[in-house]
Amino acid sequence: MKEKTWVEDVNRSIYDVKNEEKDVYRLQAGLTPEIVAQISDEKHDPDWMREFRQKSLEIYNEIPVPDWGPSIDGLNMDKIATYVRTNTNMKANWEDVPEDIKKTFDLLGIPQAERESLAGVGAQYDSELVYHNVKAEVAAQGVVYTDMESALTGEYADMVKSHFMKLVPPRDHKFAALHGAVWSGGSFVYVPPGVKVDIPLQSYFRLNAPGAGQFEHTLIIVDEGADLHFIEGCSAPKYNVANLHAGCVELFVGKNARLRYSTIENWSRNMYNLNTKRARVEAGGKIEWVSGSFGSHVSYLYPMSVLAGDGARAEFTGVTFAGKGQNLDTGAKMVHLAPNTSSYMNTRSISKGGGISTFRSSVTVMPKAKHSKSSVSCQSLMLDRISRSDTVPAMDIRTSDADIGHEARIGRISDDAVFYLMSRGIPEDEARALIVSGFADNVSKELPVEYAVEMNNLIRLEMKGSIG
Amino acid sequence: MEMDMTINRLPAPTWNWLHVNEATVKGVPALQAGRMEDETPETIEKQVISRDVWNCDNKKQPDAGTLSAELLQIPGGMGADMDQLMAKNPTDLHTWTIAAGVKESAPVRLHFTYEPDAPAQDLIGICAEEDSEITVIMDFRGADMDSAHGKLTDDETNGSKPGNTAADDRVGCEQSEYPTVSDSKLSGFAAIQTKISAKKGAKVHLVQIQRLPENFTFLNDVGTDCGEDALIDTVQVVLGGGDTYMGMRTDLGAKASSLESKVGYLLDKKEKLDLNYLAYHTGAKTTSRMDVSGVLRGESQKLFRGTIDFRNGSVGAKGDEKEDVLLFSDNVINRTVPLILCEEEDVEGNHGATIGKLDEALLFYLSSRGIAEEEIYEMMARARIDAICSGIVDEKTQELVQGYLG
Repeated sequence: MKEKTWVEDVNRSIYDVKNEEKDVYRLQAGLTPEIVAQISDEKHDPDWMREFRQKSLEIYNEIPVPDWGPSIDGLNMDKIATYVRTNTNMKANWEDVPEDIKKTFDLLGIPQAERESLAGVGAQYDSELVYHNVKAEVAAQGVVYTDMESALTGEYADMVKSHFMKLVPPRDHKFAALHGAVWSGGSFVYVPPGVKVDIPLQSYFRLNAPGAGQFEHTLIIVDEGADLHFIEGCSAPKYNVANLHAGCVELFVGKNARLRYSTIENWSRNMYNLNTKRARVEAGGKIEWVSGSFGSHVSYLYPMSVLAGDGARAEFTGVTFAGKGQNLDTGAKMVHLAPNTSSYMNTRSISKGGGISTFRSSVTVMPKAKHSKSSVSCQSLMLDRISRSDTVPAMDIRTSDADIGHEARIGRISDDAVFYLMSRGIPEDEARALIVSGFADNVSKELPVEYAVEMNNLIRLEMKGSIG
Repeated sequence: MEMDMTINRLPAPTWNWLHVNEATVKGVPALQAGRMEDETPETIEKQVISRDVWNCDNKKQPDAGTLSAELLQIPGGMGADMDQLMAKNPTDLHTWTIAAGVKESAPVRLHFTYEPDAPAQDLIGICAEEDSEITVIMDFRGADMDSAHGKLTDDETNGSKPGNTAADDRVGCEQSEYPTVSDSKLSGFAAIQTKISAKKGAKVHLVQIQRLPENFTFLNDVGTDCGEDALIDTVQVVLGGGDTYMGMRTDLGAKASSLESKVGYLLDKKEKLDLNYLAYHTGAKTTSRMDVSGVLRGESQKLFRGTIDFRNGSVGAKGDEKEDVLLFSDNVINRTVPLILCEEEDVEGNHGATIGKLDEALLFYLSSRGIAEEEIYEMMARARIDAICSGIVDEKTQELVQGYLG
């Protein structure tokens, strides 16, 4: 098999592999207290979690659907199975994972990436993790990387309980409440004070089941002075029924700690991706979001950084590519609560083939956040006139002692640049793909090389047939 | 009977927790015709169109092709509730028309004087026929101008209102009830709606100076329609008022039509300013520029919504939004929502904003030249307004602004 990172090797088929649903346990579609109770039974929830799920369901039923973003009329919760699992336990050795599932992850390059460049991997298939492992030397540093279910009842149960959905409470919005009710799978990471994890950890989420939802919960605590790079990947094969992803990511970055959270999202185009990500950063800490959004039919995705401690920092670097049939509403939120905090947003949006891309952001600077700085730069590229690209930023500044800058730009590919490349013997479609890849280099240069290559391949895939 | 209004809606709403999607004005009183005096050059035709002719509620739709029909169909920036307010207790439509080919350098001057106990409304139309040029200057003032506004000398660079920690923790929660601009009913109320039609090659310059007392709620709505190669150029300066709501919508439907919009403001005490500016590009090679600049002091609040919307057909269009806000107090609230919406490939849209305090290097430089800190702040605040007013060619208006600032 050729290496996945070889450009010519890329094709959509690696993402579109569908495994037949056999030996699978699937809860009936819909959302009722009984179904939520069944999930609790399946997962042997402690009592507090049972109550938490039921309360979240009540909140879900109280909160209206968002009235400000892309339409989610095509999502009918009565037709979504909230829990689907293969009849296998989580393994720590790829050879023990059922053959068809292992083959899927092989095609996605996960085991190979683990061998070559990762400190640990969690692989989720539908609602449960099928593989989880962390390198011995990393574990020896005291780093905890495990599945959420084990964490919920294991040695770190109290830590999980005191952090779980505290940053993203179920009342935050409708799909946070949904997540609280039916969450399953995901990872728990704890990095002890002063520990620097040199190579990244990765979780990969694969949704194979048609008409199902995936609701993994990622909880990462990077303690004082620690350092971690966490990579999240996700994909699904395309079906002609709606699928739903309503995951939740909660990141706690301690004093003077650093966390980089990188995502390459490539869900199939029947997916409603209603994901919530949030980080709380203490004094001197730093959160770095690197985000590539390529898949989904509809996306609502705005990682939020709450800069709670003096001198806390946040960076968001993102690229969104909306093609035919996609309405991707992405961006970020920055909340400055403490003095001397700084935030930086740098995003690129690309629309093509009738796709709709919306950059949505907010910068909030509260009265105590004196000497804070924020800078936002968003650029959008329109590749044709049947697409749409909107920028919807907002700033709310409540102290005089802040320095806020914002710039937005929208435009098309320069004919001169295309002409220049063509005059150097590069065909027009290649030239355009090259320019778009360059346009998105704000993200690709922030990713490990393997992932940057994957991202550029995705751009090339999207650009195929863009001429004429 | 009082009515509640929802105005200044964002054309593409965002998170509700930001409380920027629209403005609500509660308890709007019944209005009557305002007190307006005009100075009109002879070259310009002035008309008063009876409320019985234009008011739809009287089942007398203005006849198609008439001036009132043409002007009243132009939508404003505040939205349908403002039209309903105007139609609820209709007053006469006052129009000024300049004939084709006539370029009048002398402005039409309109003086609006508002009494605290006489809620007022005015409906104004401006029509510039082909290749004409007209300047209209509107001055909105309270009946007792002596108590209108304090001098710009307060030093509010020190002292901050303690943050509400519990509320801070809820920032960003879609279901939060984070405190926002509250709608309050003040003792004076006035509303004005101005509709502008600029035909092919015409130029319309609109200047509005607002110097109202701090107990006033003021609604100022503008709607413009811009013909081929036409230019609509507006300068609006807000120097005093209580709660001020301003909306402006410009339809750039004809080829090479242009909008130049400048807004300057000095807010103090508990003044609030809520803006909604919309530029719809549907014509080819159309251009729009919005330049909003101001100073917030005391406990004032400002919300600027600016939208450039490139629609299909606006090939070669360009739109720019620029905002520059100086914050002179820790108790101010500054909110900005600059939208660029785009469904056309060959366009250029830009937005830039700088928000913050006075540059420290500049402050140091001027202090080292022996200028007192409060004088520097005063100077910088005036500089913002001067920069906006530099677009006003009329000397009298320049003097009026300078005189008001003291």
